[in-house]
Amino acid sequence: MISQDLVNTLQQLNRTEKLQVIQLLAHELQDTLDTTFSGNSEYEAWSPFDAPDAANILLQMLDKNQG
Amino acid sequence: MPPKIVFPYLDGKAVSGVLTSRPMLPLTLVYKNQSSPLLYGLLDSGADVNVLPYSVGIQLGAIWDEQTTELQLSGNLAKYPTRGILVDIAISALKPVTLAFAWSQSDHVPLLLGQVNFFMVFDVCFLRSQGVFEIQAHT
Repeated sequence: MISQDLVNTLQQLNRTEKLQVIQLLAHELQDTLDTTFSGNSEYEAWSPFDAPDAANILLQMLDKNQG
Repeated sequence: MPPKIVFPYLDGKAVSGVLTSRPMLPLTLVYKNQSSPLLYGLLDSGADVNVLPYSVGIQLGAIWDEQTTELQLSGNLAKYPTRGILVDIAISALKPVTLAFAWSQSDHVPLLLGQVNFFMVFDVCFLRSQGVFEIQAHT
């Protein structure tokens, strides 16, 4: 939670300083968006890390090709 | 003993835009005497299978309907039809070998080199701290 002291400090800033604070926070938020996951989004997970059936079928294809 | 070849990790941008280094192996694929241009395959030791993106198979002259072995992949690739295909792979000065690929009807995936059967025919040593990896044909 934001403290009242922080709010008071921010309110005492001049216009230029307030814009600098906004810019700083915007950059920090952008960095956060790049590196965290949101529960409502879909992310690419290329690696078929759990495909043993497919692996066995490919092995059979290779065996048949060699035989 | 077959030669051991050292390759550098390559820098690339992730989907998020963040710069990252990955073990991307330069290679050429050959299917029915038709060669691909130079491609880069991601060494993915966590993948159970090799994965061939759809457009790469098409560039090699492969015909989808002629590949009759249907496969089921996992993760984001589970929703795409996938078929098995045998393709030869040539890596630098190493002797070409035949790899079995899961040919996915997706292009939202890089060329993946996984356990079956890339890691069965090549020994790989990852030296991430040095920014390189080594490949040697399995004897």
